[in-house]
Amino acid sequence: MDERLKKALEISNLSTVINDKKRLLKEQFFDKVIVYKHGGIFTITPELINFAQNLLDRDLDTAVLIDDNELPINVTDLDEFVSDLYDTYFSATNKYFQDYQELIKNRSAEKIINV
Amino acid sequence: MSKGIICFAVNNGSVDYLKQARFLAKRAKEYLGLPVTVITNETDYSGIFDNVIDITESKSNNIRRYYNGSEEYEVLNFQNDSRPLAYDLSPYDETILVDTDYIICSDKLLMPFEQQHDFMLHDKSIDLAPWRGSQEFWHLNDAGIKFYWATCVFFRKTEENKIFFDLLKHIQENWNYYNLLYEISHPMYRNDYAFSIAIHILNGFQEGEWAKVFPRPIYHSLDKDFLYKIDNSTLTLLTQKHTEYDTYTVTQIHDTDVHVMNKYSLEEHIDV
Repeated sequence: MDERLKKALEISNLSTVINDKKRLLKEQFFDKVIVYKHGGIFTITPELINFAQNLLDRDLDTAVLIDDNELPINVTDLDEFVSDLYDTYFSATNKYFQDYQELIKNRSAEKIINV
Repeated sequence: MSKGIICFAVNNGSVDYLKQARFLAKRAKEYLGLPVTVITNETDYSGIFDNVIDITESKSNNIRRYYNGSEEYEVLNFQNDSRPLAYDLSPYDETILVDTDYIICSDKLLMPFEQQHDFMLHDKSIDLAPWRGSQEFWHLNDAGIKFYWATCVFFRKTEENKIFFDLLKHIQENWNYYNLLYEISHPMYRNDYAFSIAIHILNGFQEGEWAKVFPRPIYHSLDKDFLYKIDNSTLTLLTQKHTEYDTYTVTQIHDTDVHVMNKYSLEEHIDV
């Protein structure tokens, strides 16, 4: 093992590694819930999903939504848009959940940082 | 509309930016499927690039410290003065301009092509060493204007963007003046600063929305950290520890692009 890594692993305490990993998992979750659609940029939140689903439930095919840059975006295929929101969001939450479970299961820095 | 990546690789005798550019191009093809143009003053550029544009030797007199971990550093010439030529030299209608020390581990850079803004870059970052805070990347100085990263920039060929890059040239040519005007604490020309100043000017000398920002921050590791391993899209780094000098914490990140500033340890892991 590289001497620098060995030294770092010896000195690192477990909580530092775990907290750092938790922070990155959270940030990566937020990376994954961004979608670029119809020229706009949307961060998927439960609120957005609920709102878009509500529009769909009112039999709308098209709706103008305000994106992350506060620009009006004409969403012309609301059905597909909502479906993409669900898929992307739950794909991200499931990944976050799996990675988080893996993290709390492993109780050593070497297991968490699999080198 | 043509789309692709451009990068600048101007070696300084110690750091091999062209080698980094080869690595960037290899990963750009793997993760993004985009063509890559390198802009360089080197002549041995065989292989992976789709397009090579020669530029003349840099006239830059910049010098800076290149750290290799928190203990060692070299003071070297830093030839970063070609960046304002990006608009003129890019062969693409839609361009991602990226630093050679940006490690692509995802398809995230394809996203800007899907949206309507003609100029985008990062205004926020996530330091892989969380304790550092990195206030230097928030504003140009304590009372200064907002900081923007020139590391990864999306632009389309538009009249307005031409004006932006022409303004960059003007700022660069008159760097001493702008350095004083914006009260930057050291004389070195930095592209991040020049971009930030140009955006400030185009916003009417105030904060504004001329430049749109990527929805998520850029991840970075300083040159006081080490890149320990690259395993496909998993990067393992030793990040500088807060409490003790020359000690490090192990950090691992998956499927995420990272700006790795330690050129020496990056070069150790380049397999092209």
